[in-house]
Amino acid sequence: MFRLVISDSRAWKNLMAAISTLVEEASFDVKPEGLALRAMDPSHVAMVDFEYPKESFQEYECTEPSKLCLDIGDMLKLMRRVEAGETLELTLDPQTNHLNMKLTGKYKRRFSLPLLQPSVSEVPTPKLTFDAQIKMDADCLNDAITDISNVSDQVKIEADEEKLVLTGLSETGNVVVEFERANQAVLDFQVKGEAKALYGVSFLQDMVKAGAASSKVVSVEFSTDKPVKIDFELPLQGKLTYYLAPRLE
Amino acid sequence: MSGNCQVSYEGRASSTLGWGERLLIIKTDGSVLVHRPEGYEPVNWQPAGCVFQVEVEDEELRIRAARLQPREVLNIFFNRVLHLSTLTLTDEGDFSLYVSEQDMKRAILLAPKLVGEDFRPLTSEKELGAAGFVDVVGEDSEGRLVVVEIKRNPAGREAVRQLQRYIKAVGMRTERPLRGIIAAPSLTREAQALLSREGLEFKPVSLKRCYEVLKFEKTRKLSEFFPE
Repeated sequence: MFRLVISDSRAWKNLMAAISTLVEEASFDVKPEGLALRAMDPSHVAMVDFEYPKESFQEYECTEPSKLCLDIGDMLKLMRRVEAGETLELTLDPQTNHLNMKLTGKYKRRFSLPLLQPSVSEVPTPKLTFDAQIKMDADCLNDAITDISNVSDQVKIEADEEKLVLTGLSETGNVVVEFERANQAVLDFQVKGEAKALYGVSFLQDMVKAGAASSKVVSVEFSTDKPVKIDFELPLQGKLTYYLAPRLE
Repeated sequence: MSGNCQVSYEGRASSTLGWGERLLIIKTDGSVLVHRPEGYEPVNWQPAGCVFQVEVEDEELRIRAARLQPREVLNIFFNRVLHLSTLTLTDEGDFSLYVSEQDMKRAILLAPKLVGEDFRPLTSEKELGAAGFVDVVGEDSEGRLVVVEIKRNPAGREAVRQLQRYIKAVGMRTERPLRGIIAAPSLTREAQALLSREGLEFKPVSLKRCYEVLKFEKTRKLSEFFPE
């Protein structure tokens, strides 16, 4: 038996969009404590780690753990027009093997999505320590990455004890965005020594843009030539974390 | 030849390299490579078809390699020659690379443009029940789901039928419009007819291109960082 109600459907839609930046089919772990999902993109370069505890839902009922796999693209299409204040109810119909969606606002709308065969593979998290951990305003990071994406398809991220620097390298000229530790947009700044790594802009842009729609605060954590962990703060111990592998020089 | 030289290049951009000991290779087709003592890439080069001017001036051996379209000049000036050899080399060998279908799939996931300008991969090795495993499923800029069947040998009618089965299986699970593409070095004549009758597509994907994508791929995999 599985049923949940979300009071802010638009927030849910943004979270689903964030997951869909990496995968088309989402295999959710449904447990009495809440929902979780961990998935890698097809080329195994990026990962999303998502958790939404039962306290984050207006109502949440789950009698036994199971795996629920659905096409997120289809769910997002059905939710294309979602208004402020609409609630979303999701119920599992075991007889038809469908997920029933009910959006309630000015009027009620019902949809249903077929459930797919869940993937069996478990995805571990990368084992990493971080020399640089910087918490900052998510919109500022989004703007910085957008600026860099205009000139380059890769970004060099560097941090020392004074500042975080993002550089987009191109033949015509570099774009350099600097965030000093004292900058208003920086909420917490912990850097041991120095850290420097190169990442693909395309994934980074998708992740940060999607995450910034769901959260105002983002933590960027990395070490030299190691994957970057981008964690978007969600209320009530919810988690939206991305990992992105580095590029070689 | 090798020796102590200085190099300057003028053309689409410009560069200068101060005095240092390097290797210079000039091939019979007029292509030029300057190699520093380390690294596998030349620091300066010119493609085939250069015109050469060589002279000795101010105790320097001055070699100029020039092209016209676009105008590029590479100057290599030696003040000391360590060795010089001229060789007439004959190479009729076949360069064959072994690229498996798995390799082709990895290359496509790393460089989706191989399949199409707006192709975005979503899943690979997707299980479709009785139909089997489809190689890659993605989407295009119009939101259509794109099913890709990869073959390393010329794709024949059986590959087209396989793709048809996958499309049918995928179609049962989604409302989205579908496209089917065979990605292979070539398509047999019989397969071409069947393909167009079924409204499916063919994208030529060369093994060489896949090899290049894999060889020069610069992004690492997250799995390299997983705990043992």
